[in-house]
Amino acid sequence: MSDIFATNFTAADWIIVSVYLIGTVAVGAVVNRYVHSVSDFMVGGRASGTALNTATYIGTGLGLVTLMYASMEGFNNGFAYMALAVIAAIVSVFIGSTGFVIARLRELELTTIPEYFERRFSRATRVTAGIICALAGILNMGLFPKMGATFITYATGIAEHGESTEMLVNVITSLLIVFVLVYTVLGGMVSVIVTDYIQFVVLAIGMGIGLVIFLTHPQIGWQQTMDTWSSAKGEAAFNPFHKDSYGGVWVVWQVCVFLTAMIAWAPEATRALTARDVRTAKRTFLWATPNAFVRLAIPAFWGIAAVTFFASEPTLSEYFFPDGVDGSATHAMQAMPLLIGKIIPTGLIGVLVAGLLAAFMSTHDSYFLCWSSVIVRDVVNPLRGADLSERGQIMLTRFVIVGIGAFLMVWGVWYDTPDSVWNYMAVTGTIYLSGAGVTLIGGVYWTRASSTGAIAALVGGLVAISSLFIDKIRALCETYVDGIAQYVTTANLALGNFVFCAIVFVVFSLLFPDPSKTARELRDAPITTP
Amino acid sequence: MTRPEGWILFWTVMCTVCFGAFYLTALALVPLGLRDLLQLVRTLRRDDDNR
Repeated sequence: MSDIFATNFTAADWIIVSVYLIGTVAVGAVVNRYVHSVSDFMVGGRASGTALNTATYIGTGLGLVTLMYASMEGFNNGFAYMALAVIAAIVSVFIGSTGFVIARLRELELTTIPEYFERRFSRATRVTAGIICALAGILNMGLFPKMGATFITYATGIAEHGESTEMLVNVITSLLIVFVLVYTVLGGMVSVIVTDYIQFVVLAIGMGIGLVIFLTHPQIGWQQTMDTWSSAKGEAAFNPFHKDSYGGVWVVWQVCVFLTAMIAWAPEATRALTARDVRTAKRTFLWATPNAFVRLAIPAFWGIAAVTFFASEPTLSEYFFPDGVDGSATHAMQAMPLLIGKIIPTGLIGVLVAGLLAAFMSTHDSYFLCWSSVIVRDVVNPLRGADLSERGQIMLTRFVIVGIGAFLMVWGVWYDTPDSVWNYMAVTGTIYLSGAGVTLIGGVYWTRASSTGAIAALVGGLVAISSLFIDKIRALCETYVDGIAQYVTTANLALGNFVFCAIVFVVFSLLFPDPSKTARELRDAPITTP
Repeated sequence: MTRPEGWILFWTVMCTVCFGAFYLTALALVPLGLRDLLQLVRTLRRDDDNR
């Protein structure tokens, strides 16, 4: 069995990876001396130009966990999963060309997204949003280390060495978290911007190398991949609306997730805040459109290509497709890393793994900074009734970052991974996005939106937690209510949650209007978009 | 199974166009991003000197 886990990764590749990681941490440490204010630490002094802002936005979005879940979905569902990439690109064009919501956020010179809720609604709305945002975000991040660990295990061939593998991988993952903690804590957003830029360059090269090698490999290639999937799954492998694929409800849910994520999900939306001005914020989203497609489509293709390659290797085929290629696949999480380890030659694989570990780190640093900023500025400060000093805020943010890191080491390393990582990610995101997305859009564009409506919608988002226990809910329905169970799906519940939050927001806003004139004045202030 | 030619063409075109656009964008972003980065460092260094 261990032979099937053998890869081309050698000691030379480990040296390449080590040099890269140490160099990155050193850069983070060097830029620390330029950080003096909260603005420097959290939004890089709001001095990032379009190209740099776009590069770092891409670096943040291209996490290793993105590559892992997208490749798993590609491995299981084929090209149909790329529908998600198309949705992401369309939403990115829409926001970049119209400035939908983000123009307003940048104009207000905010440091965090929940800060908007106090400016537009009330302090209680900001604290509610901050708590739910941080809860959803940290839970969402919970599987990142596990994904990183799995990637390292199978791409580097550690899995070949037997039963101590899991412990070794956990140690390596913990070390990676410590690396990211060090340079995020030392440098804040300035170090994140600098290292994200470097990681964008390495990633673009690494992903390009991987793509070219797969497309020219005699056992993979584009045409062979199309043939394998056509004969194995038929139209369901290409059409996301097909009854044997995701279905229309799932597609609509994903549109809601991506639209709200780009305006409200802190690590993504923070790019609007770090931009030099409103025009730069809009351009960032527009320029990042191809990336919105590519960051999901390339790893999805790697998963798709893994099926083509494994199908042509009897031992691997038996391991991954015990019922044949047209049956259900197993071990989806191991597929992409193993394919990379087996196909990419020694030396090049070191560069590619360094790039993908860079992806792991660049997402972690942005997420650490975002969730810690939210906890300090949107929960602690408002509850204290007065802001901490600049130095105090930076210190507390650093402590919170270390606390989140400690949580990840426990939760991420030891928590059992669910069957669909993407659904876990989308559901944990929906907990915050369903309420916050509606509230942000309503706050910017609807005169009668009120604080009570906003808090009701944000709290309503917590209903999405039920989607994490879909199997238990379905079993209860089968026992007590005839004919309902077939409609109890993750997509139906999660999309229903967006609709529920919108209804709650409108109803509560109309029933409990906001008397604050200041909020209306703030909302009605003109947006000076160039 | 029937080969879904329409869908195959759709994904072939989408991937070709978007992968190509990504690498064209990357070619522009690498030098321009470096310029912005150096400008950011200069700005922060100037602020540092003024303290």
